[in-house]
Amino acid sequence: MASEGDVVRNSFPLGGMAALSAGPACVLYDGNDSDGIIRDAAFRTRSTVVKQLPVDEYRLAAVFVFLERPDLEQMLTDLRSRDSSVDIWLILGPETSPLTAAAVGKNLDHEKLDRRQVLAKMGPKRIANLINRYRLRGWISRDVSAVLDAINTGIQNRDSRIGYLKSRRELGTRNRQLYDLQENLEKIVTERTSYLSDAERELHRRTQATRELVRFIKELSQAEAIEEVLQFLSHEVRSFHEVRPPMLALVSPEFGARLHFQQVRAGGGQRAHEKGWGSKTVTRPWPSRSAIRVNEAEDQTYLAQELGRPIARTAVFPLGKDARVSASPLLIFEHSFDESKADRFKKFLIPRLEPLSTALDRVVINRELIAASRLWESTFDGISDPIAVVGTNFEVLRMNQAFARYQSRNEETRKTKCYEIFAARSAPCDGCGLSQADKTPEHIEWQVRRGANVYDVNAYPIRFQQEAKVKTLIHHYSDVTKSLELKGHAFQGEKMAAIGLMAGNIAHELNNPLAGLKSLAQVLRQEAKYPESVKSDLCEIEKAAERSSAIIRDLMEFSNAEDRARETISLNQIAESALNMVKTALHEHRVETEWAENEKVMVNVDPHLLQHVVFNIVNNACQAMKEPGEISIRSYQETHGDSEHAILEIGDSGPGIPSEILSRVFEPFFTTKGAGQGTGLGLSMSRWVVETYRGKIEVENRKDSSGAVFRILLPLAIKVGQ
Amino acid sequence: MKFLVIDDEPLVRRSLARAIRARGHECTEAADGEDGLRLWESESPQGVFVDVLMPGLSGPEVVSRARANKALRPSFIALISAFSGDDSEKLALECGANIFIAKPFANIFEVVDLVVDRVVKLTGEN
Repeated sequence: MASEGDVVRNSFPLGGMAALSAGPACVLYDGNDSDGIIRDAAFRTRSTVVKQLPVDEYRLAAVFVFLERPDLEQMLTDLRSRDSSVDIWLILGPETSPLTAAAVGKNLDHEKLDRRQVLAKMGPKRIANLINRYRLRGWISRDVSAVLDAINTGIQNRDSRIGYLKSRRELGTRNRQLYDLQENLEKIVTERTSYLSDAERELHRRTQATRELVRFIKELSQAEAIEEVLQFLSHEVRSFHEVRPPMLALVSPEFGARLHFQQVRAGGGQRAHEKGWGSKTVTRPWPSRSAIRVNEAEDQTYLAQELGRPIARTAVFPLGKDARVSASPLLIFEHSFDESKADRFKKFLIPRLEPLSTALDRVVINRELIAASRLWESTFDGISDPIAVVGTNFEVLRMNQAFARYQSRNEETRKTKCYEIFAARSAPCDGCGLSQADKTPEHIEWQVRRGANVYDVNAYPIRFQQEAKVKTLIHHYSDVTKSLELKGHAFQGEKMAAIGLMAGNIAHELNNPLAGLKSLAQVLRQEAKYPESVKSDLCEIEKAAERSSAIIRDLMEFSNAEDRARETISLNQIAESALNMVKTALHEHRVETEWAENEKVMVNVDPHLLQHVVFNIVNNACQAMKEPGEISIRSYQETHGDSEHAILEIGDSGPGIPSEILSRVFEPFFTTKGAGQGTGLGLSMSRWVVETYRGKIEVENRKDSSGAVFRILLPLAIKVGQ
Repeated sequence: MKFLVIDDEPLVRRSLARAIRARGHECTEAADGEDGLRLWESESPQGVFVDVLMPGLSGPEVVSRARANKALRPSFIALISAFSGDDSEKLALECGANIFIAKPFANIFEVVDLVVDRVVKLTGEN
């Protein structure tokens, strides 16, 4: 049941909503209800009848006003002022209503009867006037069903009115809530908006800073020298006006502890070194740092001592990853900042320290790498033998200078394979061992020819880690042409010596019986008991034995040339002594001599043996000239490639040597002289001797066929003591 | 006079012996050193030819032994060799020979005459 208090609470927009409900309705009637029409109708509609206007206006479903009341108009004014919408009906009292007077059950028209009565009492004008002024529903006959209808209609109206009011109230509340919400939202939006714009600004600032940092790191990554790193940094801090270009204290394995700084402020060029970046070796290591220090007296003193000039304020930033290690790199700025500016500078620089440190590390390591690779390069270039790194596909990957000499300078004709470059071939060299590279882990050796030269190739496989297959090898080429030649010479010399020794032995073995043979023939020839024919046979035996002895003498004379004592002597001297030996033979011939200076034709030989050689040739020349002629002897020096020779030339004016035997004159036992005149060993032994001394003996006929010319070439010896 | 020739080369030995005999002297021959020393003792020759290179005892060894053996006659000794040179002469004198003669001989009679002459001189003085 709603109370009056409820109504008061209901006046609050949100709080009283629960009380505003369609409770039991009531009907206002304060007139005579002796016939019970109103009460009956109210009962039927479960409403109560009240005589006063209830405080809870919503309970009121209908008002019935006694038509004949004297204060009718006053009452209606009151009612309407308090409730503008409730249904108000005018009704007759039970005394005046004909209906009540009539007997129940009589079939009477209630309405007609009551209308006549109402009109009689008030007149139609007044009624219409009242209905209009107070917005009345009209008059109602004193009939239960009519009253019942009116009350029901009133209740319905009242309910819908309550629903409407409820909705109105609800709406009001909602509106207020909505309004509040809107207000709240607006506040939030404003707050959020300002927060967002702040955030955006911050983000922008940070992005900008990050971008700057990235650009700086990018710049640094291009730096190849410490000076360039410093130049970039110098450029980076240019917005801080009160700071000088950075200094860097850095230890590198190459240069030791150095202080890098800009010597001259500003300069023309773009490159860092043109701006006068320099460095000096420090006299003592700088104090180690683990934290950034600003305006430390110790730093200022140190710098002033090292640089020999007064130093302004300093800011020192350690760069090393482990700054506790003494002499770790330091970045030093000379500045004139106040405290807040110094802080800003610190904040600006701190994120740049790590990239700087990395860049410097990279530069130093890079320089070491380059230095190391240069060292290797110059090492290989310093080796005069050709060296190349060659793939098993014959491609040359690297080469030293000696090898690059064979490479074409012309890009277009540039070759890539080892045999193309080194041997100028179109296919791998004969005997190339490259194909065995993957079969043997050891180094491979072979020989290749390059023009007239022979090279030993030593190929050393390069194994990277545990790679199973060898893919690259180092080829080392050494020119063995000379040593092969020497080996050949040595072999020839040994052969000569062996033959000489054997010839000596044979000579001795033959000498004994020959001596006996000759002596016995002599003895037998003296004995008288033999006939003349036998004696002449014995004479032939003696002659044959004598000729054999002569051959053996020659053999023994020339054998063991290698073992004989050598001395360094001028060819002139040898030739002159030889000429003395053939003085008598030369008597009828003219001798022309042309001597080089003694120093130019020094040879290292056994003089006696060589005299014998010269004697042999001069003697032959004399014998070749049937008529008096000319012997010309000349000594001179000649250079063939890198070998120098002392040469003795002996020419005659004889008929020359028939061309068909020219090539045979040095053969042993080849002679054109009559039996008994020559052994046929002279020239062959002469060649033997000369070759034993690594020399050469040649013969040719003069072009104008005016005689033969013999030439003895001997390696030039430097006189001892010179 | 008595001569002894010690030489392993039969042609040399025999030609020497024949030349000596042709000059009217006695001569015995030995083909090696051992045999030579034996004949030296039994024949006691005034002059001896000894070859340097022989199988078994060499010439200088034979001469040394002969000189060391007081029982042997201190004969005149000519050392003969196919090898010639300064060393050979020195070698001959060192081992106790009187003269060195190089082979082959230009004329064998000159050699024999030279030696006979020296032996005559030596024995005459004795």
